[in-house]
Amino acid sequence: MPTLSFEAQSYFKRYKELLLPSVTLVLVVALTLLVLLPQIYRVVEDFKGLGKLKTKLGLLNEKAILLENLDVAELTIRTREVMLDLPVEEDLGYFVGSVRNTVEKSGVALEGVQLAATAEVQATASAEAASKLVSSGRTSELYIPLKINIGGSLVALRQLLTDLNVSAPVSEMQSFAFGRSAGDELFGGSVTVHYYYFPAPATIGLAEQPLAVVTASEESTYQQLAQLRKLELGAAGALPEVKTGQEEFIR
Amino acid sequence: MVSLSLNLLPRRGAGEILRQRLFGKIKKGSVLVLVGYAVLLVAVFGARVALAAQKERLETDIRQAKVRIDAFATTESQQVLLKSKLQMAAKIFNRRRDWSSFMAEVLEFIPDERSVAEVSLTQVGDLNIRVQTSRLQEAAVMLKALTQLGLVHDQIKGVAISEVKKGGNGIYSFTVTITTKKT
Repeated sequence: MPTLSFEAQSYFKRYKELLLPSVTLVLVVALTLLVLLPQIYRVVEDFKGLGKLKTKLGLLNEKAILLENLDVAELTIRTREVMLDLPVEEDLGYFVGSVRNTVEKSGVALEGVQLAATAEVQATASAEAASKLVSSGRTSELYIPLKINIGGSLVALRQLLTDLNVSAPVSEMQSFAFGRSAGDELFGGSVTVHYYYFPAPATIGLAEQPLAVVTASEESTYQQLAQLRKLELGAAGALPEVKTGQEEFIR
Repeated sequence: MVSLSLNLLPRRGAGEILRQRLFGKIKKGSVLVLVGYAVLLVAVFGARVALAAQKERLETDIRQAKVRIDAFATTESQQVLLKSKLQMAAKIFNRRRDWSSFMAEVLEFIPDERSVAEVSLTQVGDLNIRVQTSRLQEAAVMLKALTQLGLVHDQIKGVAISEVKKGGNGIYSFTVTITTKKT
């Protein structure tokens, strides 16, 4: 075993008191760098993570309470009603049936209904597309363009334009053209109307997403639609039963 | 009497005592630091364990909340469908115009509706009215009135007359185009 020289022994004796503090210093520095700082970082991260989890739990609980308190019967009725105003698919028969009812009500002679331009019929109608548009806050515009060929007096034609705006399903008049020959009392022509539909979203999104609560302005739109339905219902008490695919009416 | 102070310790001996005292303090201090550091480490690990337990509890609560929400999937899908349809309907209602009322407003300026031969609305919102009349004076009054209406009406962008013709039977025919503002 090697023996220390006298000088070394005396040096060790002189400074051995500093051995523990030196080891302590090295240990503290090493532990701080290798253990303490990473652990403190993880504690901070965990703390932040907990905050996020608490927020998420709060949102989920809030959504669960909202869902539990929803009047399911009322919601089902409203959804069914709105599906008549904006069908989930291109229900041509339903649209044509509505055209027939509206035209008959206004006292105009219906000469025929045809697809305005096949190129205009939107090919993007899909549940995925609708879902994407809903999640991005935009609403799609899927429609069937119908050209309604009609004949009647100018007063009756104006009445038809009014009735088209206040009838269900939701439509939008795009253009019209009426004319008459010299000496003729009655006009003949056509109105092009877009009948809208909206596929059901493919997914309702993540559970964390807030519930799509109907806002005050949307409630007012619902009331507006209800008013249209009331006008449409008339004395019959029910929306016209129109079977899909009344092909004989399409030219 | 003259007092004389003598330092009996050699200078090196005094320095040694100071050094020993200083080293003793450093040693005690390092022990305290070690103990304190150990306590700090235990506290940090304790905090991590406590946070992990809290995280576990929260995750359990979140799973339960999701189960509660999933039980209402049908209701939620109805709600999403209802809202999306109402949004689309609102968008259409907001931009849809009452062309019937607008046409009625314009036709009021035509003294005799029987003189209207054609009425059309283009997709860009131009209302064209073809009028046939034998009374030129009446037509001039009507055009002046329509032009004035265009100046005050919030939906009208411009009023123009085109295709003015005189037929062999003495009937004048012309088209009034009313350009409307975009909604």
